[in-house]
Amino acid sequence: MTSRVAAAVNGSSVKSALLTLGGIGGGVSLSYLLVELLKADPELSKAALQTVMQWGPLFVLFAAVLYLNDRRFGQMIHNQNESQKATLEVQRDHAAAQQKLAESVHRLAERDYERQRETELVVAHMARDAKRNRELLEEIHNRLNQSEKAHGHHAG
Amino acid sequence: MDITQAENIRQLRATILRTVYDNHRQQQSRLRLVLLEGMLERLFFEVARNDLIAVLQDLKERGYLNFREDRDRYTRKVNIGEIQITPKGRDLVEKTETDEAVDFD
Repeated sequence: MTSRVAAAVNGSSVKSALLTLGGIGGGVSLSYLLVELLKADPELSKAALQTVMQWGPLFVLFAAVLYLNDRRFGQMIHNQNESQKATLEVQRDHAAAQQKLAESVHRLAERDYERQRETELVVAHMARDAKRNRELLEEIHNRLNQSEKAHGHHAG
Repeated sequence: MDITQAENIRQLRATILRTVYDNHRQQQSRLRLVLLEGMLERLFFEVARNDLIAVLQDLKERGYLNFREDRDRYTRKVNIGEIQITPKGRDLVEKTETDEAVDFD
């Protein structure tokens, strides 16, 4: 018996019971308020009745829509929650993917920076070597000139 | 070690010191092993990573360089970063001091 009761009282039945109770409570409160209002002002009741009579078939449609909304309201909330959960999961996956992308771009940029620094270092080294070679060549050139001049003096 | 290799190592020491010196003079961020390795490779120095680490350690022992040395927790490979030249190393590059082990010519 206890197990049967426990089985009956699962999550969904509790939720639907609460929704039904809430709906009934709301309806009773609204009706009570309406009756009190009509009692306080009989003219208002006439006006309300006339208004409803003027609606005609629209009133029936309105009542049917209210009834259907009441029935489907809980389901709608449930569906909306599920949809929100799914959206959140998608957003979380999207954020994770974006983070991975940012990390990859950062790594690429770092690699580019390293390549650039390597090139700068190599160029600096080669420029220094080129300068030293030029100085060496100038020195050799000067020595040759001096030697030629000395040779020319002797020859002259 | 044959004479050619010894000569290469002396040149390699000089190149490393000069590169770190230039980097310091230009006030660039301190060099890392991977950068130095790439640069030397482009300058046609055929030197394996472990040999390069050994040369750097040698320069540190001589008091010409300082660097931070880490060992990867999983691969146990040595990584070197924040390489900087010491005043003694700068003296050597500026030829205020000389060392037979470092060939600047």
